[in-house]
Amino acid sequence: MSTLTLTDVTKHLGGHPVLQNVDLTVPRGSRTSVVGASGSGKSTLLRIIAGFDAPDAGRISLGDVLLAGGASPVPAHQRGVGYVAQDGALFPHLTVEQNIRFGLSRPARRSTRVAEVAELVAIGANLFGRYPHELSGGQQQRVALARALAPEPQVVLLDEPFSALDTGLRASTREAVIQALEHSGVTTILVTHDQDEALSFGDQVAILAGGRISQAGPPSEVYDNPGTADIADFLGDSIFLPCEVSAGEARTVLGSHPVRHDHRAAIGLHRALVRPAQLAIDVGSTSPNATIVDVQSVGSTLYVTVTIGGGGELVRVPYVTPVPERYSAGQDARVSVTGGVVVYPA
Amino acid sequence: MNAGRRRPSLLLVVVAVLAVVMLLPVGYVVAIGFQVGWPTLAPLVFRPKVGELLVNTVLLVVLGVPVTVVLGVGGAWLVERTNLPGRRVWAVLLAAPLAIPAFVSSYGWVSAIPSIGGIGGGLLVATLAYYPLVYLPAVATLRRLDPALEESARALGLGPWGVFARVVLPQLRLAVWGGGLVVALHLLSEYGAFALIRFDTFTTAIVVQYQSTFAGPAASALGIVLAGLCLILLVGESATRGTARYSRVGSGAARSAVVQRLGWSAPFALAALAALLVAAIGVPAASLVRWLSIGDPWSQRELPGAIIQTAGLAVTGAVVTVLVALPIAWLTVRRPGRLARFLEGAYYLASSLPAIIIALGLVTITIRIVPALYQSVFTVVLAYVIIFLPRALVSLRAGIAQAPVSLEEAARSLGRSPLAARAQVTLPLILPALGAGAALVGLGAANELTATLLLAPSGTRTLATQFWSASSSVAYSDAAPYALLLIALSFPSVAILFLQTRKRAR
Repeated sequence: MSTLTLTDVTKHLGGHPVLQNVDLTVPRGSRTSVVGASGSGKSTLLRIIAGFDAPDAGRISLGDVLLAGGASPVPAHQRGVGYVAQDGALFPHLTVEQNIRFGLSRPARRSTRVAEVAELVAIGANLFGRYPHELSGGQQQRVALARALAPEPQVVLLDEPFSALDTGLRASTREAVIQALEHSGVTTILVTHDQDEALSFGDQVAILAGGRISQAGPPSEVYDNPGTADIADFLGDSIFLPCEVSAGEARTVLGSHPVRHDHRAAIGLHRALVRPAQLAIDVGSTSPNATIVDVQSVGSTLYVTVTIGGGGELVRVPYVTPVPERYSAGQDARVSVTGGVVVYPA
Repeated sequence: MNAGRRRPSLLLVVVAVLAVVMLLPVGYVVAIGFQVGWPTLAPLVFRPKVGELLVNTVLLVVLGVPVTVVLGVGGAWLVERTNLPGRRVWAVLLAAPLAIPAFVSSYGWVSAIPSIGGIGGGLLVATLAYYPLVYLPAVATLRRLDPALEESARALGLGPWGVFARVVLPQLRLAVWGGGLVVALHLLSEYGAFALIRFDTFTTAIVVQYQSTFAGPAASALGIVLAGLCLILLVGESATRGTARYSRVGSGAARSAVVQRLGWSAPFALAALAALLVAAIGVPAASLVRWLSIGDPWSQRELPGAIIQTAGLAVTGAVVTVLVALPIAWLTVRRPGRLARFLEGAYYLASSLPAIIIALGLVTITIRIVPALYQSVFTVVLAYVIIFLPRALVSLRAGIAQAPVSLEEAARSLGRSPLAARAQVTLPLILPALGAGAALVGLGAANELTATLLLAPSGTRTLATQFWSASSSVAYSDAAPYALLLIALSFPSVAILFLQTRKRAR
């Protein structure tokens, strides 16, 4: 297995740029998730790596082999790149076993490879004789992964493989898939529009927006230090407060906070990123800085909306509480921030 | 990518060339019209006989289509939306007349009531034979309709009739329009059924003219008027169909619809359906049984030969038609676009013209350009391709749509070359559609009369032409075995259509 490298990959579809100068390196045996809104070009990215489409410019190489961008691109069936489509794309006229066996060479078909990969994705031998339509959505996706893994590809590409599943099934299938990938040690790229899925999937997360990779790195790093306010907003609930910065401290209506990362432009106004988890609310305080305007209860979490500093700034604070009666609209409260903030241009 | 771009353009060229071939006969009739010139044509077009034909033909369409719509929609509503006793059985029986070729049904009537004829006789025979063409799409649409719409209308205070008139009927419009158009085209192109009861339409007149003066200007003049009528229908239909689409918003399993209790009107509905089926199935069947029991019609010498020749022509026609349909179906499903739509439209246009005009065009072309092909198997098969192509197209399109590209891509990522991926994944998936399409074409070709009469090599005896020569010389008993075989041949295709109607509902 070798490192997959994309260099300066560009692709236009119907005259519109879909991918622009994409650079991405996926070290061998690692897992990378590419996250982007719909239309950000992430499916096109996978199709180009798989060989279903050709890039207009740029190079894709796997180890020493130039897959695309050279004089003669390697056709899809010779790349050794596995692909799991959004709906699994299981062959409806073949059984589970025949599907998994499809990509194996003749000698390998007689080996125990089918049983091995089936076990890897937790598909029991009792399902081998079934046809795809007789499987649940989660089973279909696991069979599709087993089929892709069976010929021992160097790279496996997953195109939103969990999006067609309902919420409960999604989490358990994702767990099973991550475990199977970990055991097989295959280099993997997952594309998804789900930020939590992307952040929990692998060793590297790459943010694709408007056909460009706007940031890539280990998930915790990217979440902790989003390169732009847009990325911060895309990755999770964000509260931006206007601020002034001096001596490593950001001053907002909620007080003074240490600056963890600073992305200020040279001139202009600034704003500080605060994640909802950093906020605390206290109605018993003697020095209130906010007024509650709305209280909503969703299960065990209470969402308290406040206006801060008498201005128009509306902030929604999630608060896990067993006693919802303490809060009501019109009350004064004190909202405080724990931990540092990330500063962006306003 | 280069290879990927070259292939569709080759496909386009193939499809375009085929479209030109398909449109040749029509173009030639028109070209002959121009060549002969208006001064020669005008007296042939504007004469009392043509006026009479025009009145007959227009009346047939103007009166016949509404009657088939009432019968078809009414029948569909009774079996799909009411508690009519035995509605499952009625649902099948109402589609059954489609298995009786119109000229066989006409034979049944005229041999029972020899005096039948005129516009009344023509309407009777034609509407009984063709109402299932409205009934089947109406059933399919009713099954597909979201019952929640009808329930909502009830909740908004509409009675059963209000719901039918203001919610169900508007949604049936597309099915009714499409079915009505198909009926109208059949009425324009039907030859045998009307010739047997001596009711003159453009089509019967063209055949008469052809038999007396061959492919002369008089036949061409009539052909041009007939083709003009068809074009008016086609343009009129597509102009009034509009762009409205009725689809179910949201997903989830459809529940079964609200069932209307018939109450005191149930006996009347049953009596009406029974009367309809007695006229559409009972009379032809009774005639058939009667003529089969007279003499020994099964011992005719020509019978085995006719069966073999029919099978040979039908199988050849089916295979060639499916092979022609495959590239256009592939193009419209896999590479949809304006050009693909345009070419597909050309195919449908070529097929929607009456068999008599297609036959006339092919006769003219072969005689003038390649006499060697005149009255050859090649020409008959070409006529079958043009006439029955839509049957194969519809089947293949559905089949190819069920074999998405993503499956081929999955096969390629598992090490299959593009060709191997198609052979191992796509082909097995579209095989049933290929089979169904070929069956529908073959069965249609086996029953084809008009074009076969004009184009088949002399000495060709098919079931339809043998039936025709016997029944038109009033040898009703001799015709009976052929009639029975023709019905038996139609049955599988009606069954396929009926099952497709059901399937679409799921």
